[in-house]
Amino acid sequence: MRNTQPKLPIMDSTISLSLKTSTATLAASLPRSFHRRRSTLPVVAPCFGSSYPRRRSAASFTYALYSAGASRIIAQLLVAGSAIVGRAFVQAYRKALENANKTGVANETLQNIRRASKGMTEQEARKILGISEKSSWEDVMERYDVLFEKNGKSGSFYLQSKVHRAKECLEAVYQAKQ
Amino acid sequence: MAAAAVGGRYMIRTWQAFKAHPVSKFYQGGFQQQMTRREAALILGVREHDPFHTVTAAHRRMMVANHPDAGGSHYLASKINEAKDMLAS
Repeated sequence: MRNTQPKLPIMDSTISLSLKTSTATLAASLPRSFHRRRSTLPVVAPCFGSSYPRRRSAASFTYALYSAGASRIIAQLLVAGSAIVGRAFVQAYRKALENANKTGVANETLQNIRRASKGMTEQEARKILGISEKSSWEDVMERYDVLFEKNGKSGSFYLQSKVHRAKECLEAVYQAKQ
Repeated sequence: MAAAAVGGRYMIRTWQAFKAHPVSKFYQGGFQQQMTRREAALILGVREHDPFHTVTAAHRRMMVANHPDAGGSHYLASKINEAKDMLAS
């Protein structure tokens, strides 16, 4: 099973051009019997290694020119062309899917939720603790102690952690003020 | 012999990591903009599909603890009421 992965088009053309000239000169010098032997090809194109029969490379393309007729060339061209077109199509489709996933209403609401839950805003922290803008740090700590204990005793852990986070947030704010 | 030593060291390491791990970490962030059933269940300390009587009992307990007239905050009380409305509908 031949690997139908084509190389980059630029590389293909330069390699095939150099190979064409080299194979032309070699074909002129070698006797006819050599044209059909696969073992000569590593000499012509040493960079492709010994795995020639398994690779659809530029070497096979130029070899095809000097062996059987146009049908093989046309077939190889069709295969290469369809492979390139197919790959481009698949890439474009995947990119379109990606773009669709990144935008859209559902995605925006998700992002809203994520942005809101990333941290706590100062205003929300003040609301949770019942603190006004003018309160001092002692007031904050008083309210925090009361609420934390009440929710720890007969509240839920979730509310207690919200109280804790609110105090953390206000701590940062009050430290920045000083 | 070597395998036993390696195994023993691994066991000791996992035991130390287990002991060092805090029992429970506080939840991050603030309340969600739009309350979900999951958040409501977390607020009341019940499960999402708990029966009506469980939810109302939990709500009563929370309101006693966080009543605005008895030292709680209005915001938390409103959140508790909202959670109860969502779950005990």
